[in-house]
Amino acid sequence: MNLSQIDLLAAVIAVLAVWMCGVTRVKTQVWGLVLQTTVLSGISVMLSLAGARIELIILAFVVFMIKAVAIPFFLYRAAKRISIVQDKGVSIGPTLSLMIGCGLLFIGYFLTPAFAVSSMMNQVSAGMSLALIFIGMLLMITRRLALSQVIGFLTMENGIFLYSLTQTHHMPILVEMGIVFEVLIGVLIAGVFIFRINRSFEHIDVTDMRRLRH
Amino acid sequence: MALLPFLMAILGLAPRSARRLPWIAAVLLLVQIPLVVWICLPAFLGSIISYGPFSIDGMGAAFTIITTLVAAAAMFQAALLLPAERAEGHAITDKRFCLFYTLSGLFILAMYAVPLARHIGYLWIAVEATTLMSAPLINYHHGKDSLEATWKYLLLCSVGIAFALFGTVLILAAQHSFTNGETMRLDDLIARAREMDPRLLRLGFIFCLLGYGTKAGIFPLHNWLPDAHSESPSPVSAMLSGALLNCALVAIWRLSQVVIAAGQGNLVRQLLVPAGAITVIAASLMLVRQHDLKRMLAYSSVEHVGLLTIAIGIGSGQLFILHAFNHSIVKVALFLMAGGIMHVYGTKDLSKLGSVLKKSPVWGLVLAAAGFAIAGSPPFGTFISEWLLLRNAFDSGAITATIIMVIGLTVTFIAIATHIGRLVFGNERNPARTLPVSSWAYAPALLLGVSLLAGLAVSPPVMRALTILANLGVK
Amino acid sequence: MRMLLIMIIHLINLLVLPLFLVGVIRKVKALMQNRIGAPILQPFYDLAKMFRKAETVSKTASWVFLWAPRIGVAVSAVVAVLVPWDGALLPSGWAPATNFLLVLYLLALSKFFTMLAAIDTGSAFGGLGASREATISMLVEPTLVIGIGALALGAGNTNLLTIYAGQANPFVAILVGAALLLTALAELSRMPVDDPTTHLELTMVHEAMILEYSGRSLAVIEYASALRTCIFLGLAAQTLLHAWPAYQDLPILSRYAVGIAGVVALGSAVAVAEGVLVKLRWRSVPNFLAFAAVMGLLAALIAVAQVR
Repeated sequence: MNLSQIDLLAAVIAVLAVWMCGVTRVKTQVWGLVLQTTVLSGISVMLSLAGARIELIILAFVVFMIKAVAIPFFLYRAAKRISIVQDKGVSIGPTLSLMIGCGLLFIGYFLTPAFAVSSMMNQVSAGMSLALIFIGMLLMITRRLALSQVIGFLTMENGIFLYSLTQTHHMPILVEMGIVFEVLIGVLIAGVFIFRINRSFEHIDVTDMRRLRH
Repeated sequence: MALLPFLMAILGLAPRSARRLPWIAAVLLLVQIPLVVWICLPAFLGSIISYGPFSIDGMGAAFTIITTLVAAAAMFQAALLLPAERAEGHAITDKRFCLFYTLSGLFILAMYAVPLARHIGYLWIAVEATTLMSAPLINYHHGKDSLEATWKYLLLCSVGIAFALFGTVLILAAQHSFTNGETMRLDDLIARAREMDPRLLRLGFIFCLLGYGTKAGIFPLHNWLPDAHSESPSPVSAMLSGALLNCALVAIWRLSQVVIAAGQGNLVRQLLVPAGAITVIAASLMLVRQHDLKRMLAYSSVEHVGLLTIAIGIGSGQLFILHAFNHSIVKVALFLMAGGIMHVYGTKDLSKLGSVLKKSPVWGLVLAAAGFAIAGSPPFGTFISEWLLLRNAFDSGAITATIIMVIGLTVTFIAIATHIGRLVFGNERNPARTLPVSSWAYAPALLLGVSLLAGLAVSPPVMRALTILANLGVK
Repeated sequence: MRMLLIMIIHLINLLVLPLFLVGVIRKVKALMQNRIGAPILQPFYDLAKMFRKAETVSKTASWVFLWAPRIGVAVSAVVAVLVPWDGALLPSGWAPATNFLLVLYLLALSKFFTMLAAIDTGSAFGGLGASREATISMLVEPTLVIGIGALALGAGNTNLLTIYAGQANPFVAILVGAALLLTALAELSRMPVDDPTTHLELTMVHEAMILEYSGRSLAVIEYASALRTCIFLGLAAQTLLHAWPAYQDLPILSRYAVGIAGVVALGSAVAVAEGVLVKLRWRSVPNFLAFAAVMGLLAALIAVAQVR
């Protein structure tokens, strides 16, 4: 297995995501998200330099500003306002979550041949992006606080972005920008709802919102 | 065409117009109907108009017209219902009221963009925009239940949309062998489908199905649907059930065309037909035990989504359009009536509602007719489209699915007849708070009339025209 | 001749370094806490003092209580001689039994006897310490096996001497080194798993097991514990040093020097960590150890992927 530099960075992002599975403090998770997105922007810059595509640098800059600066800043402030500074509740415990995250990384790695585009160089990145998507889903399913579910969703989006960067030659930049802006609006709307949930329910524990049954 | 809803959205930003806004909106959208028909006319005559990445082809025209009808009816009823609610004492500020119209306008715009998009990237953006614009609408009555429903909706649909994005990216990656770059335009995709990597294309379609299927409400990804459709105010429920589900299904249809053009059509059949059949039977079973009026209607929507999925699965675009049209018309009528009932009786719990006929004969009649229509009984349009669907499914070989559909439709008929029968004819459980106003039943009655007409008007020439419409822009 | 030099230096390290390392750790910790602290050679003086004192043994204790320290020091000494924890390039023919599983389980053997001795005294705190130690070892041993196994997979041989004499994939080395360091914190009862200087019995893990010992047995236990510190920190240092490709080509004396410097550096790092971290709630200890386990698993993944 010969890893190119981009594969290496993709593996770093996936390991960061696995680390985030075992972290319970919301603010630390936000920092994890910042790190992930920074490395992702780095990959975009490297790809643009390698293929001489200017638009990827612009994309990297936009992604960095929005997903590594604006959104985490917003989430950080939201966490402070709702005063969930410290440990948050998790449905399956950080230990088990960490192990499952690691297992998902393995699964992503071994599914690489099914998802990778054979003509591209960075094959392992496909597996790593798959792992990121799975880990994002794990975070969304097993976390109890609404804010952490949003962080899980953003991890999933990072995975999809990584796949589109490394496995496709040319994703229309307008579409990519549209996607990033939609994610921003989505997070803002989710933030508004988290504040409302906190005001209504006095907490943002989603396992406690079980009033609507069959 | 986008002008009028945009105008409505802009007007919503001025809170001082709160008193006249509902009627302005209703009039705008009623004017929109002939406008849209006139703009879409070329598509009915066989030619496609393109504006950049958007173009009005057969499917696009049909679903734009359906969406406009649904939105116009919803806004018309909203003009009657919402001010009455405000007058009664629901604490809704002017700002929130006007925000409702702004978001509705943007929502309708996004729902136009979905069937008209000829570019799978913009398709995705449009579907995501519909999710984002409709989430705050669900939370119009700030309550704990509606908050929970909105959060579930936002989260589950976002996950689904993310999967759909992954599927879209996979389809892009499947074009790695194209010599002159990759494309996202549907026309190019269909034209060069055979050159795509089949493995990645299939994976892409599966993920897109998972994603857009979540948005459409295919079992088992439908969890958000009953909550969201029952907790939102009835004009919003009408728009969600009548127009949004169709948009998600159109997205699935577009992608299935690409897959079929690549020669992988059996994947589409193998996935969609069983999924649709299971959805039908699951929804019908859940319908039996409902005690909430709007939740029952939401599960009925899920069932019809299952039927539409089977229609897409057997590749019959004309049945897809026909049944979508019939279902939307009737479902909107029902939801609008349900809104009125909620307002009059103050509850939507079925065990507390009853004997609407005695209170207001007009309402009782319309409700009974609507109940018959949604259960699929003649002479309404739903009967014809369901029967055609059963026959086509049987003819194309999906025997198990047909049997399951028949069982599901039977169970549904019994369940809906029981529930609505009890509602209309039963004993009076709770006294009504206010008297039902007859004028509120006019719009639903009109819609039911259209459905009746549609049912009586289906004939081979009409079906031929629909077939041509459905296949316009694919070849 | 060269082989004789290697063995002599290795044995000198074995005799001198453990207590010296313990002294360094204590000194650094004192400096972190802004004290002058005891002199670096204090553990030697402590050992000499404890050897001269009489021993008090509980009436309910059996032979296990008396023999556990002896078994502990014997096993630790054997492992310390076999394992190249200070950079020794011993030939694999010299100690063919240095299979890494054997080494790990020899260490587990001494821990087993310590736990038995703790229960043997009949005191409640002994039982408490033993049960906590058992829980920790349940979490630590899989990590050690998988981590060193990843190294073995890369080297193609399960003999520890061969593993540490050859090259290693830098990523595997760093990951396994970090995992070993974290498990060393757990095995050696350091922060954040256990506070070695606590006097509150309810918070003890390792100290509770040796609460009843005094005199010579205590001296022997202290020496065994110092040997284990050397072994674990030494293995971690060696693994981390193997990520540096030039380490293999150094001449013998430089290799030893760098190895010993690495061990002392890691010891200081542990002391600094002790000054900075707080002891974890007992319920949070598995979460901490899970990170080490995941690092080991990732290293195993890389090793497996490389072999394929």
